[in-house]
Amino acid sequence: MEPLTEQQEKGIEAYWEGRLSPEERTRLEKWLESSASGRDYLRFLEKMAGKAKAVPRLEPPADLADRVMEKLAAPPNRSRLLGTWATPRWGLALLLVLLVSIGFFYHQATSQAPSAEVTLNLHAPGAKSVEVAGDFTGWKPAPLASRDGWWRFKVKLTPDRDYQYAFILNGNVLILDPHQPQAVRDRRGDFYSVLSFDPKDGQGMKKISATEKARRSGKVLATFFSILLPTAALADTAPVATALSHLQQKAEKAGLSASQSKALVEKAGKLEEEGLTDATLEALVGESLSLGKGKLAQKALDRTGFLVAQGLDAEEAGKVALKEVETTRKQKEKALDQDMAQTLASGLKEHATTSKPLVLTQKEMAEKLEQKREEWEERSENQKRIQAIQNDSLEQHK
Amino acid sequence: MDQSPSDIAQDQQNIQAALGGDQDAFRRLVEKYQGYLFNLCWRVTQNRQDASDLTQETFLKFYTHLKDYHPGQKLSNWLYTIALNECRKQLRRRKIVQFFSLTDEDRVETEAPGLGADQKEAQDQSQRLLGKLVADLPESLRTPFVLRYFEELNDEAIAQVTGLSLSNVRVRIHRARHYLWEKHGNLIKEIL
Repeated sequence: MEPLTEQQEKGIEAYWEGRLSPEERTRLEKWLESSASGRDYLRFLEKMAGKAKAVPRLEPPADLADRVMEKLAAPPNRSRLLGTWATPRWGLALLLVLLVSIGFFYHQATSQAPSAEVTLNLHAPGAKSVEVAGDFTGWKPAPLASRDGWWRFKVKLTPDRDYQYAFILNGNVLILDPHQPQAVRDRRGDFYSVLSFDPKDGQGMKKISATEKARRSGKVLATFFSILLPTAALADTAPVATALSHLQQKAEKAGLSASQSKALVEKAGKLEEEGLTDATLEALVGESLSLGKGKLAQKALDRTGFLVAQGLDAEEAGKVALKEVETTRKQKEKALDQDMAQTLASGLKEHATTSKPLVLTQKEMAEKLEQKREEWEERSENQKRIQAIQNDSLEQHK
Repeated sequence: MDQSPSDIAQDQQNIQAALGGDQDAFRRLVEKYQGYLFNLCWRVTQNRQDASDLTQETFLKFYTHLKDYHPGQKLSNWLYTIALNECRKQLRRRKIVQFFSLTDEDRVETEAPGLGADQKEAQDQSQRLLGKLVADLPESLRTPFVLRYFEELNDEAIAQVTGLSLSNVRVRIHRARHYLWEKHGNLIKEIL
């Protein structure tokens, strides 16, 4: 039996949860007839839900309600405590304990403060200016400091929510953060990087520190970095000719004509000369080809070239374009709820475009940032309630 | 959990009464929700003693914040949010303890220790397997999975309770299923 792809699994889940249209259901049911693995997975979903429902619930301890009510009713008995400790000998010890405690709680209060310093970096040696706009700047452009072609921005964030942001090159080009693995496409179709902190594994923090380390140590850490961020695959050292011939093979395999493949390889060659690594190039073209055949790959390379012309480092530019293509793919997967049956039957259709034009007039840029600010306020409002409870709980804990 | 409009109205009455100092009204809320919260905490922390303490802590927090309750808000979801926050803190504390502990103290209980003999008989082999599978899930996937399968919350409610985005909830539930299917597929086919 063939293993299922992620898309197939998601499609079956959407089917089982009733999220497909009648037409899509019919098509999926037809596909299921010929897929034993698919039927197995559907059976697994059904049985798991059935069994979970049937699992008996544990009875809470019989005295739980009593204990809660007792705790609520009992005020701390301070006079008794003072009576025990109010002697000269114990007084000194108490003072010492108090001093240590104050120091401890002060440390707790400062070290557990719900904020984390994050450094954003961008390698854009040719750029005239780089700014960042995001949820954490109220979508007002904030300038990055520049040194040796690297642009840097430090910000303190509370690690309890996701933050959307983007860099602005030369005042009019909006781009993603090439070091940030996550990106979203908002409801207007624009791409934004997402900085998220998983409270359980601190993923957001890890990614940022890896970025910082890579920035400081350059290629020495490239291999390590590629393990953390496999899609970036910075450590590839294959000779140029080999990489380009791989690209040509990939392009032909994806069904491009000889002339299309040649044009693609020519563009790729130019970018390699600019400093784009083979690994990023292969990932960029490979991912684009798997999504949208030739057009998307051409566009991705054009975008990379455009960003290089704006002053961005070639490798950074390649990663920005790659991120956009990957985000497009993820969006495509999300759209699976509506499009699953068709996808299963015919494979991914060619995607129309990678993103909307990046170059904006001053007015357009201001409007876009204003829209993002409103969107951010809306999201903040939605999360406010949960946030308040979590913050209060934290304070209570302290 | 499903709640009828009369259920919700009754909760609001009890909250209003508790705000006015009626301890019995608060007790009624504790008695109504303690089972749900205790089971949720147990599924997430996989430890009965922790579940009991965390349920108690949840009600104490709830009492402190009674005045913040907005009429119309689903009380169960609010309580789940507080409980999950407490669970998260407990799991963090446990990680620290385990890090410093020389002996690998196994505090995880994959079978329901609180079940009586009758219930244990009723809990067939497949249900025990399911309990073990849930325990095996990574923490970040376990919570949405438990809310979906054991508390029967829909995606929107899970997003509200956990503070995750709707798409993130769906992704995590998919990953949990995929994890179980890929890691334990054969066993599941055989026993479930």
